[in-house]
Amino acid sequence: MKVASLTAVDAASAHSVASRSLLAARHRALRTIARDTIREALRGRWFWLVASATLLVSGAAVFARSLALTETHAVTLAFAAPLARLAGVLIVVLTTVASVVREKNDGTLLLALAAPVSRASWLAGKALGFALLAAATALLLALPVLATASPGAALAWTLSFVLELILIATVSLAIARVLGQIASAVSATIAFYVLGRLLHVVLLLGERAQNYSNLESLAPVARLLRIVVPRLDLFTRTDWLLDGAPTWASLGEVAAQTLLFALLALVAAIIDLRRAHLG
Amino acid sequence: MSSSQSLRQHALVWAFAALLILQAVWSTRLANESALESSPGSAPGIWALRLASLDEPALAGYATSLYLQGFDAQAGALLSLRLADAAAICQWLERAYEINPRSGYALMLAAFDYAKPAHMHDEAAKADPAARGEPAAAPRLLDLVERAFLDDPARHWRWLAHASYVARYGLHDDERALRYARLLQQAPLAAAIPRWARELDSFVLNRPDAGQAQSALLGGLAFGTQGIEAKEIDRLAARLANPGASSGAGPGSQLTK
Repeated sequence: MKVASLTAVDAASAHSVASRSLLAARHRALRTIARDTIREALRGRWFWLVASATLLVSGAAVFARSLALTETHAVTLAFAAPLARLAGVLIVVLTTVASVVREKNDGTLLLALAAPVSRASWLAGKALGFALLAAATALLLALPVLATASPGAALAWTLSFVLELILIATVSLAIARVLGQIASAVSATIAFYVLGRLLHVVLLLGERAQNYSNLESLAPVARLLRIVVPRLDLFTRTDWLLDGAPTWASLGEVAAQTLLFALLALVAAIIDLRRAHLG
Repeated sequence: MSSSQSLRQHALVWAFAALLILQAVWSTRLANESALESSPGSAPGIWALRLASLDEPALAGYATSLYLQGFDAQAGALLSLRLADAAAICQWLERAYEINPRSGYALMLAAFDYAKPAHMHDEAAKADPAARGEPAAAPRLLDLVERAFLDDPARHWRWLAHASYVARYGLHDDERALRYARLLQQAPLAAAIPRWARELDSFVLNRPDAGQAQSALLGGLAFGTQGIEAKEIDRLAARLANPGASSGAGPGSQLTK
């Protein structure tokens, strides 16, 4: 009896050790894939692209400031913040989509999955790498804003910018995984972004137009879009820089939306990869 | 590289250089032929501006104001408001304010830069049979400033003070000038309007002539206003030093092409 219980305890502890080892191996794989993703982006001149974009954004803001006859501080921020945001989204979308599609087309994906790592782990590692790149892109592009705005507002804006680009990176990964072509994936991701930024304006216009045009048939589509598409207009708002930092509740909503939608996009990508025939 | 390949390479380089020179000549020719635009055109709608700017009202508002501000200075020449479309200018300024009501930029352009030339335009239009029937531009600009002040006195009192001066000494509309002065006087204390602006009727409007009134107003704006920027003070001081001519640093110039 005593020998049987000792054997059971040994088996349980062996199982626990094995689980911990498996978890550690998965973490190592995740970190390795993420590191390789970042290295690939650095080899692809990612840093120079972001640095050039930051210089362009700063140049545009300084130019606008030089033209302004009054409210020069507000004019600088009104130009720097939206342009940095747009540049960040374009860089993240192009970098992520190009990397995913290239890996799919030149067979690197098959090679990677030949290693003892699950498809889900591989995608999670890629998502981690792209998320870190997105965060670094946001921090560099936020430099003109950090140098100009009040510290509290600038930090809140930058944090939201980081979260926004992480969300876009994950969505780009999912869309590129599904569509598999650079042009269509970039177009679809940009369309998603514009929809997220402008849906509330379009819906408002639609509600106002309903009095004099027949748009009732589109109402179900509008309702579906409203509940599925994230409210990107609530992210990284320029008026935080002009009128004062947002509340912690607002930032919390941004963080929660990022986590939720990024996970949604990642799971969609994993589902697509698991059912894909890679031969 | 073989000799034929080398020749081909040289020929390509020469062809590239020739095409580049042709491009430069072509661009110069097009620049010389461009005519001054006499109108900034109709202002885009609010919704169009919101959509085009990805719902960034501050960017849309300032870009609209800077576009109009730059419209006067085309190809190095300063365009008289008499040549420009005054109604379109009013529309642009109204749009710039509506999309970004927190900013006073459009109001500054309306009160400080365009109101007086708009009045001259209105006077000229009275004498021109072809232009009779056009609504007056100067009152429309001052109405914009008044509306903005009523929406947010704390942000926009400065431009109402200037609008009051323009109404009195530019449009010779004492009723409007005194109405604006009363609005400033009766504004809530929370608007933090300085004393000289609350007593505008005695500080500015009751001066013996326009020159002294302008000195008092610009002095109050430049040196009696908290939070004003150095660039703005320089501009006001330049207008103080040379009240008759254009400051040269802004729109609405009286010089003709």
